[in-house]
Amino acid sequence: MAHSVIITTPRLTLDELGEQYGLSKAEQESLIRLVREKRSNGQTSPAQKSASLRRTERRTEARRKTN
Amino acid sequence: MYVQTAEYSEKSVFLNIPYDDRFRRLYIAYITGLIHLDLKPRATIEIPGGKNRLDKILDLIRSCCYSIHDLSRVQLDRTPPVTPRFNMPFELGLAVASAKLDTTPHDWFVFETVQRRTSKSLSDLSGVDPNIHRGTVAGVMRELCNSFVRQSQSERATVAEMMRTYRAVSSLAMEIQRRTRAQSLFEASTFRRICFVAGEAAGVPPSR
Repeated sequence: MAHSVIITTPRLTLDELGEQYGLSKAEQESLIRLVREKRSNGQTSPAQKSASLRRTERRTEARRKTN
Repeated sequence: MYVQTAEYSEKSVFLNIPYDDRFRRLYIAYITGLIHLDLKPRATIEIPGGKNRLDKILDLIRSCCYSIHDLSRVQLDRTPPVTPRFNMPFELGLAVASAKLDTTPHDWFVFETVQRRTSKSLSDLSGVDPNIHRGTVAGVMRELCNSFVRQSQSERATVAEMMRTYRAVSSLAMEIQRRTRAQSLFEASTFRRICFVAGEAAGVPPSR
């Protein structure tokens, strides 16, 4: 079996990473924006949201009729 | 006389892997996985060309508390003249020497795609068990988690979390390359930005 080590160092921070890799604050902000934009684009699209909403409404309507 | 100049860091991991397109997925996997484990990847691609390259590589290895040596690339490089690539086993040798001789701690790990292949390709490593990732992204993540263990259970990253971050970083890699106008992902400018983007995608906090 391969060996392992226990990591006890403090957690990383973005400041630390930016400094380590020599990125200016402006560049860091720009990269953070890029990730966040991608993340928000990757979330459920409006079309998916409305389809999901319609499904929920149909189920609610069906339950109401049953009751 | 050789004098070390780079500052030693307990969080730095020297990443000794093939830097070419066939290894693109695993390159991003190693970076993402290490950042998830709160470690900082360092690589020879950060070193500019020119004089004293060997000194700079040795300097970088000695500034890292850990090193990972992926010995998967044993095939001949078909670019003429056709030869195998010796850089990775050579840098492993430098790391082993650093671990034996330096006063600062250095722990090295051998990663491979194929089980038992190093017993033939590098029999001097007899008695060392490599981490076998089978050439997959999830395999790299799993073996990184096996190698670097956080004391507190709550602080341990899972392979599933790492895979999510990998997918996010992977989908941004080409955009980062475009922004830096780099020829490939294996240049210092893209490497540094991919490391930072991996931090943001992994949910690393802005500051303490």
